[in-house]
This record gives sequence, C-alpha cells and structure tokens, in this order.
Amino acid sequence: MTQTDPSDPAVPPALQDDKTMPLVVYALYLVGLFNGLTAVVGVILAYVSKEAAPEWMQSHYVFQIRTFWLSLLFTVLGFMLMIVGIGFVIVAAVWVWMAVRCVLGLSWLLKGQAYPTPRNWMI
Amino acid sequence: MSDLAHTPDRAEEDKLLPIVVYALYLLGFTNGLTFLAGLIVAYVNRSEAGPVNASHYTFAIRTFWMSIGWFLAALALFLVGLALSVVLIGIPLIVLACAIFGAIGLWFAVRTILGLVHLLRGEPYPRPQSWLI
Repeated sequence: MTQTDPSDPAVPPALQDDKTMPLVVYALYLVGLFNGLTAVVGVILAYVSKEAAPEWMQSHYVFQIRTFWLSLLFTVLGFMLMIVGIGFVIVAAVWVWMAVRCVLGLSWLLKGQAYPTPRNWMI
Repeated sequence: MSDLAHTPDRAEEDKLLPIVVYALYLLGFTNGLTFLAGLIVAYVNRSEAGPVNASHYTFAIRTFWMSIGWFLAALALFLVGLALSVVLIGIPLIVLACAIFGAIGLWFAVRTILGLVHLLRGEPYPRPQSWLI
C-alpha cells in the first residue's frame, strides 16, 4: 500500500504516514497566492481529510484551515481599509504572512513533524 | 511487458492512464475542453482495467456527468432568472445560478484532487458511486 515497510523499526512512525494530502494543500495555497482561487480548493481538502488523519498531521490541517480563514479575514479588512491607504500595506503583509506560513508548514511536514503551534495567530 | 510474470497485485496496476484522466480534468479549468478528452480516456479504458483503476475511471466518469447535470440545471435557472429580470424578481435567481456555477467548479476540483491522491497511494477510490465526494 505504501512505499515504506510499516514494520521497519528504523523509520520513525511519523515518516511512514502518507504525506501527500497535506503536501497538496500547501501547494494549492502557494499557487493560490498568485490566482486567489486554488486556496479555496486547498481548504476544502484540509477539512475533508482532517478527521481521518493521524494526530501529528491533524496539526497541519488545523494550521492550514486557520491560515485560510485568517488570511481571508485580514484581506477583506485590508480591502476595506484601502480607502484610507493603510489597506494596501495590510494586504501586502497578509500575502507575505501566508507565504511564510506555508513554507514553514511545509518544512515541518517534510521533516515528518507536527506543526508546533497550529493555533498561533502569527506563525 | 516483462512484468507479466508477476502476480497482478493491485499495487502493480499501471497508474499512468488514470493519472492522465485526472490531469486532463484539472487542465480543463484552464481551457474548458480537456475535460472531454479525460472522459473519453476513462470510458475507453474502463472495461479492461483492474479493480483499482476501474474505480477511478468510474469516479471520474461520474464526476463529469454529475457536473454536466448540475451545470445544465444552473444554466436553466440562470436563463429563467434572465427572463424574469425584466420584472426584477429574476435577479436573485441569476445570483443563485452564479453561486451554483462556482460551487460546481470547486466540487469538481476537490473530487479530482481527492481521486488523484487515492490513486497515487495505489488505492481504489473508496466511494466511486458517491454523489458528493
């Protein structure tokens, strides 16, 4: 079923779990930074996959779902504040923030580790 | 061809063609046409496929036709809305139809990616006949 032998004691258990789905979600988010739409697909996939996932991977899904909603919230706020100018700065900052979160999440995922602070508002 | 000596375990089915189907489906979002090519590839290969690939072909074929069905329903709603907007009550119908168009696109993309993820793990799609995902 999977590439690695599940009984191999040399491989830590987290590395044997299939990481494809959280990887796909991060990839869709990163692509979504440029088209704005694939992030929606990503968050739906995260919701769908969350409950059946092993615990360490659930932290990534929680992190991804929160990344989506927080970025949506602050982007909307930013657009509303564009009439007073500060909104342009906010929207740009949210863009960078989302990119940083995705890259950080990806690096934890590829190490086979849970995201340490999935409910943090910053990173 | 040299693999014929192996027992046809489900992990040994060649995944290339179902991958092509899903890839054509995803590409369809950029051109609107390759959905059809994917559907044809799925139909042509389903009868001779092993159980894993067959579940993916069935899932892909159903994804296509259900989307068409919803699309036509939303289109009808849109046209009715267009006709009724002469007397202003049609505008909510047009808005609703546009929301349904968007939802169909999302749903199609989610189904395709979920199918692809199962396929790449070498698993059959668990619910090829499902109406949602």
